[in-house]
Amino acid sequence: MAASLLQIENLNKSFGRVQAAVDINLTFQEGVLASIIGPNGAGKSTLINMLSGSMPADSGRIVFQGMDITDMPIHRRVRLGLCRSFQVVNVFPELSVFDNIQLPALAVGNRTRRLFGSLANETAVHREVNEILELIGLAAEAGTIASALSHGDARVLEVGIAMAARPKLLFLDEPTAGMNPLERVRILENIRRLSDQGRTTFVIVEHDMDIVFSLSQRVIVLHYGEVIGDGTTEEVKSNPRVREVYLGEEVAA
Amino acid sequence: MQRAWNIAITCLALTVLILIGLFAGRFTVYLTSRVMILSIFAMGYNLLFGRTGLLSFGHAAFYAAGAYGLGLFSLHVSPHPLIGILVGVACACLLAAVIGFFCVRQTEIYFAMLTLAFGMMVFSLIWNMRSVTGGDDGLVGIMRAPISLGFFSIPIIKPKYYYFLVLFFLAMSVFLIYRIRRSPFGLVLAGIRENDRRVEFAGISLKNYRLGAFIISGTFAGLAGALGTLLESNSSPFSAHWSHSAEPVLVSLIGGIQTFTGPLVGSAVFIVLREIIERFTHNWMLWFGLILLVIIMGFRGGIVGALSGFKK
Amino acid sequence: MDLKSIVHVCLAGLSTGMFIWLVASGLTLIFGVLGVLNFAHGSFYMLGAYCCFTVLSRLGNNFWLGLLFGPLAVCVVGYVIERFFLRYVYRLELPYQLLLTFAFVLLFDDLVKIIWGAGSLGSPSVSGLAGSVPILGRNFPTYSLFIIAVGPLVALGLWALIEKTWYGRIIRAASSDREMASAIGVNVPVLFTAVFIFGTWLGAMGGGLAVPYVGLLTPGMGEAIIIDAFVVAVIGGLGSLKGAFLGALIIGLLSSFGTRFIPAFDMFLTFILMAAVLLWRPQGFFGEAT
Repeated sequence: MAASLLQIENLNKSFGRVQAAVDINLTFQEGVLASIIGPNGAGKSTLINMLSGSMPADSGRIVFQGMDITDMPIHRRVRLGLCRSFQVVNVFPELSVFDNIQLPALAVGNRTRRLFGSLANETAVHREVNEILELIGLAAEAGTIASALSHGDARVLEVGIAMAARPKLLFLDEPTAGMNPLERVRILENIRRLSDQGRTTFVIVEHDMDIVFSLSQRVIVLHYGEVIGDGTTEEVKSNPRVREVYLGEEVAA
Repeated sequence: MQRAWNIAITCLALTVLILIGLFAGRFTVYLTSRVMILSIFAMGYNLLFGRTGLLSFGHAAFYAAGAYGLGLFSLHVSPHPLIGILVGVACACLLAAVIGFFCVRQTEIYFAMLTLAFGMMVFSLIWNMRSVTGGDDGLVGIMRAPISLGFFSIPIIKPKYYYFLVLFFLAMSVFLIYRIRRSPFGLVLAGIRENDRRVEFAGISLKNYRLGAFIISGTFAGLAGALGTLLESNSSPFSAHWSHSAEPVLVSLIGGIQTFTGPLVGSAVFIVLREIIERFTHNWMLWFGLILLVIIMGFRGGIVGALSGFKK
Repeated sequence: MDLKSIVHVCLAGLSTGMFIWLVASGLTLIFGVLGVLNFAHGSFYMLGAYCCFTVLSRLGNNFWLGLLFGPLAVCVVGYVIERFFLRYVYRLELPYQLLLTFAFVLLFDDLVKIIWGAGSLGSPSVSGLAGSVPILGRNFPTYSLFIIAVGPLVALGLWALIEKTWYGRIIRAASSDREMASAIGVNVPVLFTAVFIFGTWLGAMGGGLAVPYVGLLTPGMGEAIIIDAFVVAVIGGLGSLKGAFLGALIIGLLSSFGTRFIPAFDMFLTFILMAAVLLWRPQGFFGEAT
């Protein structure tokens, strides 16, 4: 039985009369590549926001590796190993690609308090940064300023920054948004490879059904803030409620 | 290549400063001392403004803390200048920690307004506590007692000797700030300026590092205040007024806020230009208003920024 | 500490507050719609006073003509600032906008000294509103009573404009969502210029009305009032006119009571209040939560 990384208990959130999260109960296991799908407005972003710490829940508990993190600030969750990437490119624009990755790497390595030590001496961190750059395929662009990257490269950097914090559990918010097919294949290959390595467990929030079903070992379906499906791809595909709500048009064909 | 260029410029600047100290006339020495002190204020301030992206209107309060800290110590305890400077710096550091603790909780315009509020609180305290601070008269008669080092003493009452003390502190400040900029901490500050939201997701507590930058810049302001008081032999409550806070901003902008040497260049330009303008007219504010206007409308990289453009 | 003193201190506080309200109203309007905190608003107040003074001394000491034409002259200045300078820095970060307006503060401070001299100008009294009125046995200046009446009138006028007219609707739309307003056909640049000019006019009117009140016109009067206007705008909620009016009343009264009973620390109290609001309720009493 794989270790349980994250437990979500009775999570609720509403904005006025809109219920973005309704009594959500989920458990994420280590090593299981999962996906969260659902149409727009299903509450996927809200869920990620609550889990990563940028939005407080109305009620419920979030337990990460046995620790109650419900009220913990963002940076402490990251230090514990719970990270996210963003749907919109959210990098450090005027810093180089190398520095973009170096920043979280330094933070997680507890090197950022150093006031007078030179960055040039942080060889251990630099090794890690280069590793990550190789992994995501941006090693050639290490010196480029982030704002000068192509959109596809910027999206890859976006994921790279999240990876640099050495997370145990990483939520990728629509990682392939706005990418062309080639870039898409590349980043998915990277995710699959990294997932196989075992250091990080990925949870992908996605729209694209092909990606979801080809990559994931487990699929969670959200609809109007509720979990309406949770299981292997086969189980979810044959779940009548999911078919009715999400796959409606395709089934009819 | 860049490093060689920087080292060359630094050596050149140092040589010029030393030569001025040895051979220039009294007034030039005085003026350059003022440039150096303003540079310390501006360099520290720019760590917060240019590097971290936080605009503070209250840093004059820390300059004043350094000034009055030294002044009160000198008048009531001991005129030993080095200890006095230490006391002034410590006062500024402490004040920056307290005020910063409250200010870094907010961002952008609320942060700016908070620093303004606290800065003016300090000003009004200094203004009103006449018995302690001398009110609008300020503290006067602060001596530059000689620094005694074992067998001999350095008579810093003489302007040229004091000049070299100031130069020493400037060199030390330049070195420290240079190291800070190139440290992991410095990278975090740059990250905060670039994307303060993402920084939290990189595992960094935004509040703590903002506070760090705030305290460091406040401490340098205090050093400048202490040195300034020794130079003028008095301290004035207006050194805590928000309009005095505008000086390091102006100076950094003129020199170039994203550059390391910007505040230094800006200080020199500011003070020299002001002297020149004041020879001809009382209305130096008019000219500086115009200069500021021109810079914001078209030359936001400042002097150093424009020069780097030429290099490329 | 009898009732008579309290009433008089209150009245004095109210009249001081009204001047702050006039300046803060323009400041708030400009911030609410343009998103710019205009440091130079105190300068508009000062220029309004000086221009009004000049007009009235040229036109036979007629205060009302001065009040009419003085602020209009300042509006021209406001137009130039917005149209040729401010418009180009909206897209820049906050510090640059603040520093641009600050540059104008420096400019106007010296311009006033150049044009009108660095000394102070004695302000004339207004016939019909001169003298004083006995209230509870002690005399209170008639002009101050006039000001206490004018303040709420301006507030009402602004309220009517914003809530009840078509222009007001556009202003409200543009301040809550600039892009949307533009998308539905509002000419946002022109609107911004118009709002800035109107805000300038309010500040200048404050200055004009201050002419008979302050006793002496000095080049420092702009800086003195802008800080109070900032405090008021923050306490009331940046962008809220209702808040600015109430804030002005509070600060005016606080300042008046402070000066009367604890003269050493009235400035300090004002800033503590400002800091407290910023820390615990940064949107002020009436602003929208960010």
